[in-house]
Amino acid sequence: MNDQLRWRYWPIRLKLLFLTMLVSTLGIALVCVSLIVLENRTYRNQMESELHVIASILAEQSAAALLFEDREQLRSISSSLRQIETITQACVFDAAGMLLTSLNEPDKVTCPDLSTAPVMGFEANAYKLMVPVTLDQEVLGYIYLNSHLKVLRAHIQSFVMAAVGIGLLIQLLLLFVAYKLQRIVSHPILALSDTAEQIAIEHDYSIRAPVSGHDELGRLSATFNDMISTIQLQNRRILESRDSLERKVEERTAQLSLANRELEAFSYSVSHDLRQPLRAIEGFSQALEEDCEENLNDLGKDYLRRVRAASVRMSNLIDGLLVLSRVSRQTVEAEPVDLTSLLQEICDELCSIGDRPPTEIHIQPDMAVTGDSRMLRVAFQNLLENAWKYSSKKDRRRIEVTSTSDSAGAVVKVQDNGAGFDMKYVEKLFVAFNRLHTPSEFGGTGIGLATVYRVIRRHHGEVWAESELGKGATFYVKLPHSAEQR
Amino acid sequence: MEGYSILVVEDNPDDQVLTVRALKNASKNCQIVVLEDGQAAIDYLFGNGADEALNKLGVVLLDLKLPRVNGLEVLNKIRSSPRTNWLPVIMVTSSDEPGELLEAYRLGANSYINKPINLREFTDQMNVLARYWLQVNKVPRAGSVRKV
Amino acid sequence: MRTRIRRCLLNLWKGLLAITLCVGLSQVQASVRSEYEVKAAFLYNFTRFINWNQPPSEDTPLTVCVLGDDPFEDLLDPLVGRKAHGRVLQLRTPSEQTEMSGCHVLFVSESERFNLRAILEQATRQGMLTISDIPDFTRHGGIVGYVKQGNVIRFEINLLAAGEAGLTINSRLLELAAKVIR
Repeated sequence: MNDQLRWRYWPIRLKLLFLTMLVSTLGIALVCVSLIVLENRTYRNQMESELHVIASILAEQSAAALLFEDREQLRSISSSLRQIETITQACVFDAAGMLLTSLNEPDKVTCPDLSTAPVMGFEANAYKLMVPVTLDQEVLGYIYLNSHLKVLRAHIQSFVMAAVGIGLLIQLLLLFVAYKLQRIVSHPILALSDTAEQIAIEHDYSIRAPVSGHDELGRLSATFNDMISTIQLQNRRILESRDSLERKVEERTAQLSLANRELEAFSYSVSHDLRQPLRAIEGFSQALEEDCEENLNDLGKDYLRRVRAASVRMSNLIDGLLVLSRVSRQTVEAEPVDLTSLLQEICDELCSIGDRPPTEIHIQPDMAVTGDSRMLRVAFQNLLENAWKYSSKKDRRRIEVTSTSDSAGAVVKVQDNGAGFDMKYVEKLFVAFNRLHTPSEFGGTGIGLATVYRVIRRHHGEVWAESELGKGATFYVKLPHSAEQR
Repeated sequence: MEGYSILVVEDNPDDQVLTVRALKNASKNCQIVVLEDGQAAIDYLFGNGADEALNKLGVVLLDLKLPRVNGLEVLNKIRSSPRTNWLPVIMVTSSDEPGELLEAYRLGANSYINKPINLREFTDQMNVLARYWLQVNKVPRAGSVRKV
Repeated sequence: MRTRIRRCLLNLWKGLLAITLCVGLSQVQASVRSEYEVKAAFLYNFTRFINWNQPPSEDTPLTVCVLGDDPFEDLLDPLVGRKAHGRVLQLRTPSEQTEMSGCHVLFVSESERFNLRAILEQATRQGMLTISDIPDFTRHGGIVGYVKQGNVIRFEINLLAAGEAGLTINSRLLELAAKVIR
């Protein structure tokens, strides 16, 4: 079935018109039917009384003829009825019920047999009437009349036609009037609907629906306008706050890029300008040691050695700071990284530098993560160096790197059996320049884990540690498969 | 080896002293010319008496960061002129910022040295450098070509 | 609704039938009637369609007289006690003209035809309805005269005579008359 034809798809204008016309049609039909019924009854009554009058006249006329049994006269009396065309048969009976005369041949429309009581009144197509002929209260005979109802039928038919015709005319008029009047109701609804549609399409919340009257429709339009005003206000606020947010973001971005430039300048000066005097200190200390050795006593030599050691530490510190600033500034690439071979390379380097390699190094094969390989190298280099360093005092040094992976990402576990740390200070672990051991226990800059933290955070990952003092530490690095994931 | 000189462009006096000491340790007889900034280097290479200087010059040690005219500008100038574009230029820096290094190589630097903190290490580097660029490597000199 | 009306009509019809049956039966019995039987019935019927202009009060009976030889024998006897215009009919047989005053309806017998003029004069004067089967009775000034057309007995009316006698004759009766003298 076509959707357009279903009631719910009708436009409201059509619905209103349809309902109005339905009611008016019903009303007009009822009026017409009642009029027809009434007319039918009135006409029948009229016809009945007319026939009664005719029959009475006939009875009066035929009384004498009946008494004198003058059939000739009776025939002439009854034949006068021929002029009334509705009467199809007229029969005259004597008092004994014997048929004396009839208007037409009896076989055309039969005269009733009076020995059995005939049915009088309206029948299918005829009205039958029997009146007694009396004289001085004495019944002399009977007159029977049979009238066809063709005239009644024709009359009612023409009446029905007229009623239907007039009804249709009135309907047409009402249709016109209803069409004009339905606008009173439908116009505000349509205006409201159009407004709503326009607002929905154009997103222009300054449009208002016209408010007409103080009825429900008027109130609906007014309420709708209020709602749109509220939306407009909220929209404006949202836009304003968005603008201010954008402004803030712009400001922050500008501040950030300024800070970034400053940091760049700073790191440059750290690497160049701070190194230069350090190199001078170290260089001249060494030159002093080599060129003026014979002029220095043991104490002087010791002082010189301390100067040189301090300059080396400072050099390391500067290098660490540079790395930290670099991993903070550089853009992070997202590429598949073969973590196993990366870790293996780092271990090989560490083994080649260090004097005593660990007893046991276990690196899980086929570990793969997503990230920036250079940065990850820095991070894992720091973690492995830590494991290296803090396990250096154990007899059996064991370093193990394993990984578990799920749909969200991979968790890499770097475990050693070294000195470990007190979980009390775990909060300070990843903060730059915070050290959990004295320089005499383990050397270090306090920048390594801060760098690890920075690298992993920039990969949208997490890093945390567990440890028990004296039993080693475990560092967990969680990296999402994609850098965009959090 | 004795005939060629080494030009050192270095603004920091401490580094000048340390560089000269390292070069002297590497090669006792080589002649070392020390200039303090980029403009002085340009004047030396392109000013009066430049031809005589160029004839004796074996290699240039150019600090990346110099006051007024910086090292990259001096390098660009050297590579832009046919009189000097044959000169071996070794960039010397105390920074390992990759951006400037790449720029230096793009402009035609022959090598690069990151000045180490340790003096002995620096002396070793200078030794290798002097031996390679003054003895092993033979550059086609603009002056000698002109002579022929 | 309609069936109830029909039932009412049916009941009415049954009642009417019952009333008329008794009358009807006697008439059916006399289906083959003698001449004077018919004439006697006619005589009674005439009284019902003729009005006397100065009618005596309804209490006084309507006197039907047969003057001369009575051809009806006892055929008129059933008329006694019946009513016309609300008046009870009574029968007299005056033997002479002199005895006929007081009569309202006067049947003049064949035997009196030679004295007809005098009888009719008196009868007209006294407002009597004169009826006879004397030939040309109406032409001689009688009001209603029986005539025989074949086997059918009919009647003639002299409207002038009736007017003179102060009688009005129902037009329905006139319609049935074989001849009306006006």
